[in-house]
Amino acid sequence: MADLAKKQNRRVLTFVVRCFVLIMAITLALQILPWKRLAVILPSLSPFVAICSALAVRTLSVITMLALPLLIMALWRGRWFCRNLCPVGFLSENIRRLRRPANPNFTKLPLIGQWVVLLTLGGAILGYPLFLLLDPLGIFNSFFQALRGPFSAASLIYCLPLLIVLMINFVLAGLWCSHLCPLGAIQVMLFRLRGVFWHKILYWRELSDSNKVLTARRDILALGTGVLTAVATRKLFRPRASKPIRPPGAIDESNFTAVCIRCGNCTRVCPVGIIEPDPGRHGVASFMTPTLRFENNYCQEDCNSCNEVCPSGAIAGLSLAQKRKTTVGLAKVDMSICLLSEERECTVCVRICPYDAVKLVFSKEEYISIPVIDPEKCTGCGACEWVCPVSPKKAITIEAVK
Amino acid sequence: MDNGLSRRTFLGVLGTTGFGAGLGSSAFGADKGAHLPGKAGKAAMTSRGSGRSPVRLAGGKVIQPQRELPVFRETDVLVVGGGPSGVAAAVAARRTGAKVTLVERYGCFGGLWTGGLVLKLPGVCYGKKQVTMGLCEEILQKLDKMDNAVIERNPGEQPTTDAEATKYVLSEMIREAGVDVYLHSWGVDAIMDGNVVKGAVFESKTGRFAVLAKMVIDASGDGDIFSIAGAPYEHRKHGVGLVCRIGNMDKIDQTKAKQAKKPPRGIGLPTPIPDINWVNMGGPESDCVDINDLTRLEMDHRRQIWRQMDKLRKTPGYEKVYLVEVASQLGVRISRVLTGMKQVTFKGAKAGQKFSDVIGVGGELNPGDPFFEIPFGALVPRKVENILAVGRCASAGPVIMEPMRCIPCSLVTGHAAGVASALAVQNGCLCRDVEIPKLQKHLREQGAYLG
Repeated sequence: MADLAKKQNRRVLTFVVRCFVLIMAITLALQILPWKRLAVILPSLSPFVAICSALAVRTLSVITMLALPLLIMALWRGRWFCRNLCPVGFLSENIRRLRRPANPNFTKLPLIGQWVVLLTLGGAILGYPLFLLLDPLGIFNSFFQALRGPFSAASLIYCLPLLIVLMINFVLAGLWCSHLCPLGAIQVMLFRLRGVFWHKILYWRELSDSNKVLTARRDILALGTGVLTAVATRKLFRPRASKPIRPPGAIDESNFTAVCIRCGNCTRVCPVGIIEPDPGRHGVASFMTPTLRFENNYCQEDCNSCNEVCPSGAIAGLSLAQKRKTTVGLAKVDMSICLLSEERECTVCVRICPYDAVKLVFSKEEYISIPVIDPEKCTGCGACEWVCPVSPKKAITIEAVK
Repeated sequence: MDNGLSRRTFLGVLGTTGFGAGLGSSAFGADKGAHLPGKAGKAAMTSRGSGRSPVRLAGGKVIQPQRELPVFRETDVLVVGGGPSGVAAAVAARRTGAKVTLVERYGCFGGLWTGGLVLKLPGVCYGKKQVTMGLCEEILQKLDKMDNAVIERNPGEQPTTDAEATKYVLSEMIREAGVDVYLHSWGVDAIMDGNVVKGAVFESKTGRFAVLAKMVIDASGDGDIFSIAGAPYEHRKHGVGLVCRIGNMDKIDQTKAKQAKKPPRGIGLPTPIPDINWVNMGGPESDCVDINDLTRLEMDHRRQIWRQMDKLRKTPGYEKVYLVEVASQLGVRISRVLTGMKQVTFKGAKAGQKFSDVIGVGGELNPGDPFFEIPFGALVPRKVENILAVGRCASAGPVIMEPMRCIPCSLVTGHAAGVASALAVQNGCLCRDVEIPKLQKHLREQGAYLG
């Protein structure tokens, strides 16, 4: 009797805690707190993102450390996070309460989540973590990020992943959480790993909450497949003709599309709204990754917000001083449409450049002034493209650097 | 009589080189009788020859001896420069009830608008709406009534005016308003009493002379007066060009001309006179207050205009085109810019910044340019009193300066400075302390649009 009451109390407590965590997670994702950079916390908590991205970008940052608590918890308590804190899991459970179908038996199904983790890890060794974007916290984050901004086709797409996850869980009785979720899987694997070390056993050992586990041989096979797939995918989805312009501090383009988890933090945190999710303009792999557009503003010289909120290190955590020296692209002038070639009154690109990188050079032969870019000074901030009065195509544009 | 005249006209204006030295308060005790133009000048000449003394070589150095300068005028508001902003300031101050003296270095009014052949008025409109009103609109309406004086007056267009018609209209407006004028007189010095500007010194064929005033408006375009007075300013560079007009545009052989892929360079844009176009020039970035640069540019540009003309006449179809005239004034775009109490900025404009002391608004040069308010504070210098900067000297950031330096905004700032100076004289206060609501009320009554 007392046991039952205790159990009841515990259940209530868990419920209250999970409600609180859900609200906190939504608050963080919506960026409604005055400290915008706090948005980085939620997706950074995931050890899946932390391990794979740290491996991929080969850096350990303060943001990576945010995943330590969950990592340690997983080593000792396995999927403790899933049961007690995960906002996606909590949402799914509550939605599933709407109807209570007989739980289909998925025990025969392979633990796809673990394969996903291994493939991603294998890819990460090459700097191309294949399925990093399947992290549920990133998916959760992007949903609420999308809700916050002005509504558009992009925000609809940002909303989709979470809806799909919830749908899978609703229709297929928690299949996502049990079999697909890489965050859940990595916790199981970490727990197992500790077990392996703890008992100094090289080969497999039965786990309490899962009947089916991969053997070490299989792990290596999966890792190898991950490496190979990463090579193939990177080749297959190599950015085509137009290379996108990424936020300042973005890692190498060939790896960016995999390291970016599409959490939407940078898009929403940008105070001038120039970061836009790529609607597929730069190839399939680049879909929904952040690109810079200078139609309505330019990358501000006194801002490094996007550097502060990237959980996976796809955008490096640059300081303001570092960011000011970071090049995202290079301005290029098209004199065939520049107003100066028609002797019209305009020098706005020269006047606005915050880095003093555009100079007017007078051509004695042509007897006109030509805006010339100093590649040493130009960071590709886009101020010149923004103010250029020539339309529809601007006479000065930012091009991605090779 | 002789005594009275000399007491009135000869005052202790010391300071002969560079900076105007202190002026005794006795200056304002002098006779304030109305002057007819020329009378005071004649007195100066008759009583002491030309009123000038030669400069002497002393130890290899050229020394200007200390001398007393004749005071040609004592006035309420002195406007230095008769360009768009100077004329607007003088007319507005006179209409607001002040006694006004306007001094211009050339023989006509309008500055770069007329002498510089900058015939286009960009930034009159924002979208379809005309936003630079007041004297700007009044002048344009006067031009409307004349033949071949202004075109492109429809909503959203940038009007193009005829220089001669504009010169005449401005001259008549000055005359009708009852402004005292000295032409051919170059403002060279500020007269200071502590940090208060008390007038300016001019150089002319008659010799160097002083005009004492309660308020001074520096419409010189290069901040000649406020820079000497000690107001902080920014020295900027910009392209300096030389504009010309070409004729026989109606005699272009269109069948031949159409064979070319692209029209040739230097055919310019239409003017109110049907067969004449005006041709703009960008020119190299230069220091517009360096006489060496200005001299070289005049000669280089003239050669370029003739070379371009030669090329154009060799282009099939354009054989009959000829050069009508080259502007008599070099096209200086920017030089000294006041560091005012407030500054118009591009970022502010983009963010829709509002000013409590707004005195006018600017239009767009190109579609998509921001709408911007011009505050009175952009005309008021730091540190020195009773001088206002107008036209392309008004305080503005480098980007928003592109519309600010053009004629419509110059007319707007000139108009406001004129009214503000007159009100400051009436209230006996410092120019910077003028009552903003009163200033705005007067401006609105005079047809200005403040957003």
